Amino acid sequence: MAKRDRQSIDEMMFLKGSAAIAELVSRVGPGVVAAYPITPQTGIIEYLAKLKISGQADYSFLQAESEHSALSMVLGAAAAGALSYTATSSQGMLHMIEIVYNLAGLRLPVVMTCANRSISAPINIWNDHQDAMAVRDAGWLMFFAENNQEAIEQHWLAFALSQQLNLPVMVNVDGFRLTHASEPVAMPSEKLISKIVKQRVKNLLEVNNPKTIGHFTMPIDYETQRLSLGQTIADSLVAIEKKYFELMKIWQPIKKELSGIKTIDKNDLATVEYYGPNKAKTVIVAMGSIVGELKDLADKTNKEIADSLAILKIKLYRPFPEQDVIKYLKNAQRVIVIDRAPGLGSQPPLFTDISSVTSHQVNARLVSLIIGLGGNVQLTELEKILK
Amino acid sequence: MSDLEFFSNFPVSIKLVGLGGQGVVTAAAILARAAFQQGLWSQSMPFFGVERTGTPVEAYIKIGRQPIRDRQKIDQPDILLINDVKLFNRKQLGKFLTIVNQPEQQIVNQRIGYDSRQVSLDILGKDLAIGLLGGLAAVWPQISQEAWLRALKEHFTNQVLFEINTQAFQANFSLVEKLTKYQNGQAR
Repeated sequence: MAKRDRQSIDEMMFLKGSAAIAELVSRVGPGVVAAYPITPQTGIIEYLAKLKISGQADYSFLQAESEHSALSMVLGAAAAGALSYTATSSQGMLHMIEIVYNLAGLRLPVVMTCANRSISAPINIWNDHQDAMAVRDAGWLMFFAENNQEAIEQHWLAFALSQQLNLPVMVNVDGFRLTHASEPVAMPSEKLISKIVKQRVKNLLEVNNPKTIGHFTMPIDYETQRLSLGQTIADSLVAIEKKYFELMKIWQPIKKELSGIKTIDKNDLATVEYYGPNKAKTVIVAMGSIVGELKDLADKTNKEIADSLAILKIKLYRPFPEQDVIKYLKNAQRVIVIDRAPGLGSQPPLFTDISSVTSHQVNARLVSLIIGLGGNVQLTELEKILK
Repeated sequence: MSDLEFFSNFPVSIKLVGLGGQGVVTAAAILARAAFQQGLWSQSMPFFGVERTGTPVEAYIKIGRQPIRDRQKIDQPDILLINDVKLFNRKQLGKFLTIVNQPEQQIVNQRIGYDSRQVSLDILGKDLAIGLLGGLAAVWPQISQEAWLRALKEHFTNQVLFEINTQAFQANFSLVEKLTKYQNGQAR
């Protein structure tokens, strides 16, 4: 591993997605990293472990005996005031799921990468969103990254937001499609990152002032706390948008100089990005790396017939950005919602979110499409519908 | 020897195939990194079946002047590099160029076959796909020697690994250069 005086510079790097995320996390400077390996997340924690072993990082790195233990360690560390991080996928997420719920209920600031992978049985290691969807109601903030650049910016934002709001934040990154893809990224320096991320969080637990958190609660109190958590999460939209713009304000000029990547435009928010003509007849709603292919498809389609297709990328999935979604869908005649999870037993999850917020507010005809379960991403059915 | 036509357009799609353990993923990442060092945008995506030695592995490298957003496999890549002749199928060739690691040296239209294995075994002790990058560089000069070397140096932080991999790269380069009678993009 190259010597780490590099952390002090903003620079273009060529990295695998998992390495890019780990590099960003190491530059944030967490106090505790506890994890258990699972494909396709392993690259992230191996990179963090290598840094620790070679003396280039000083976080406590704990390999737990399971994901359930890993997240428990992270919970304890966060309660004691340490900046804590972990990563998982698929079965690992399910293994730690009771702690996932605990963290939100306790309002602890933790950041987790979910390298999205399908859920058994049967066993499949490739990418879809079933793991994220299994915990969408747990009370975490949830981001979905389109590419590795967005992944690292969302992790940076996640650390800042978790501290500010005292809520756990999950950044979803498509397994293999992003984690194992090598591409250029603009990487902010430690110094720049620290402008909006502190290295310690307010500790809930103190040795000299012992107390119990998350204890047994009677019905009225439980319900009050639960609904209050829901309200906090819903209200966080304002803070999220504000922090995003604060981050972009210090980062965009540097990023543009490093990479030539376009500056922020008015349709690229913390919550969503709208790509394409304003009056597009069809809008496709989607999350994650598949948006890359969809943007190419939109360009191609609009060349043939102008104003025919736009893409609404959902970046912040929880809390669900109702107002922004309505704003960008209200002119469409047809909305095609692409889900990367089936929602067995009912409509798929993103489709249910979209149809519930748009009923009575948006006139478009809604179409649901499930694409790419178990990594089988094919756009043929979508292209057929579009013709 | 027929006259090889040069492919110099961007964006370009390159597919690299081999068996698990032949360093396909590493070679693909180095190729993409070299393009990045050249100032281009590049993306390397590996695809494997079961994660174990001996099963087919393929990687797609896409290189262009603009950021690349698509992460799909490509039915017919512009350039196809095959590190194990068992995976060669004459009905599936690169659109503009195919290079096959095979015992017999031959050039048929836009397909080059040569014994990269012998070179790699001598230097690396293993039949690694990094050799094919050297062969590619000899007939596809879009990436400069400096960019290749910087990419190899950045990827192989261990000095010994850097040296032997660079040696293997250069040896393959010379072999294919001689075979195709091209030098720096000019026919001799």
